[in-house]
Amino acid sequence: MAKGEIILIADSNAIIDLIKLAILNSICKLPDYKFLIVMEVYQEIIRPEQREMLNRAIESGLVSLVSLIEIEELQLFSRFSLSLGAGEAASLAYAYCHGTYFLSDENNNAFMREIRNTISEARLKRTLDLLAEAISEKLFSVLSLKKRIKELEAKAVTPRDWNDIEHFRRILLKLENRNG
Amino acid sequence: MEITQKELARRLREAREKAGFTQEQVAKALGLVRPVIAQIESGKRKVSSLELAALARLYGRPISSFFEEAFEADGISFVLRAIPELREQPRSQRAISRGLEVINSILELENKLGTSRLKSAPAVIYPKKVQTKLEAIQHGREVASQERGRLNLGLAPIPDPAAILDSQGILIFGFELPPGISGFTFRSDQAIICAINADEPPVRQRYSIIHEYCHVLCDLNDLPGIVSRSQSEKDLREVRANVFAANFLMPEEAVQTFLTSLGKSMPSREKTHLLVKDEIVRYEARRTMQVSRVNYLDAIKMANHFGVSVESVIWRLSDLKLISDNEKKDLLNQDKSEEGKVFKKYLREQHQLSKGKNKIVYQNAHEHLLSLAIEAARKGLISRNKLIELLKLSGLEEKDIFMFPEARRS
Repeated sequence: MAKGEIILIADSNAIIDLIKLAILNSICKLPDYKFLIVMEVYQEIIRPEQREMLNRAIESGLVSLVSLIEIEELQLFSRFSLSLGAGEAASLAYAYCHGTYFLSDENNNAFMREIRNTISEARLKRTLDLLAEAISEKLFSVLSLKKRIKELEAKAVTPRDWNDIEHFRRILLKLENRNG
Repeated sequence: MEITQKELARRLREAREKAGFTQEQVAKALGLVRPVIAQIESGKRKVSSLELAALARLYGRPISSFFEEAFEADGISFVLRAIPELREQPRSQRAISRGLEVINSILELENKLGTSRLKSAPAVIYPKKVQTKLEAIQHGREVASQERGRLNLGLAPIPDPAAILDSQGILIFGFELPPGISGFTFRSDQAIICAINADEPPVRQRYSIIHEYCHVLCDLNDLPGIVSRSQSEKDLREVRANVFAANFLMPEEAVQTFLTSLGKSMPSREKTHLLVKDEIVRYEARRTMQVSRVNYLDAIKMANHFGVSVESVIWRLSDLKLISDNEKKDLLNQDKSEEGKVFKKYLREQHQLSKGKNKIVYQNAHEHLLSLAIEAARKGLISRNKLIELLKLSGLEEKDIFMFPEARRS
């Protein structure tokens, strides 16, 4: 790890959000950050267009794929899997064993309890934090995000799409509040 | 005990052997080559979490079982060992792996929620080793009568046999089993599980559920599990279970009452009495054969009434000596004839259970998984993503999953 470099292991919702907002590549270009995903998360990205964008990010070296193979990693993965989804269980096991940060927007009780018991909230990164940093780095703007969310609204079909849009609107509101 | 890579490798090998798989079969199921499995099992190659999850699924066990203090290699994998055909047929193999995953998830959630399934398992069992066919028949009849009495079922038809097993703490689920297997029953550390072949007609499945219930009541005391195969119909345990199912679903008195309501099959000489000059005169009146004879339409009506197949009705009438051997033969022939099909189509269309085209798959276990998962999420015991995984496993589609507030991001 280079000095000051923050290694982020991302859960599948966080990756999907960045893909949906069409900012995965821009976010991955944030200086001092290195983005990883575990194989379980890669497998959870099943929509072809999202998988294709992720593959491109992997091929261009913006995102790296990692696997859990050490016994401690496997043991933790097995333990976390009892209360967490496969992707988040594997990501948390990796983050704990390798001292990385964990990118996730989950805030339910079971998830937060495991975070507090392992890596602590200090190593939990939120999409909002990354977006704020990227905006200050001028990788994109609040306006371009707004525009993209409008496009997503026009295309939304499934209840999941709408749930994601609600999530984006909440993030946007917080970003606008931060920026005054 | 500290789990090392070597110990994990040993456990993986033991789990495979207990489930009855060869390395070749495992490699094929996981899309790998045999030497990779051999290397993993000898500890020469580290297994990844993805591979471990796939192996656990294939062997019908939770991933956590590989890291438990005392490794229990047997357990639920009885099923895989007892039905070797499953390992050869990818469709059946996938179905059973998924079924076992449902069971394991239910048991994990029950642990989390602090409920114990075995506490609600049948309060009474009737273990008995039968030595002869006659003993098997008698025991099947006795247990059916006692169990109907214990459950206060009276003589009424049983609308939902699965609900009876459910009420007794037994997990029940249906999935595609190879032909010739109507179901299986086994006991794990935490639960009794009955599986029914969902490829069979609904009425047959109802019968199989009660057949398996007999195995729970009579056989699980001295066996880890039992597979009901058509080729083992002469096995005394199977004879007993068949007699139990017939008697449980169609008690003799209920059959008599039903036939009486149709004006059929009274005794050929019926006792009656007359009042003559203040004196009761008892006499026997002979009924005409045409009135009392049970015809094929009666058999269909009776099958509809009890929710069983027409064939089961014919055999039951024969067992109860309400039809002669020749009548049985005639009725069975009619059941297989084109005429029989027309009759059945006409009469059975009105009966919910007989819409053969609408496949019924008993999903009590899946429904149970769904309700446990929601409860665990509401209590903050599992994460939103875990909930989504479990809801998918219980058979919900994505569009329905996001209707649950617990599955949505907030």
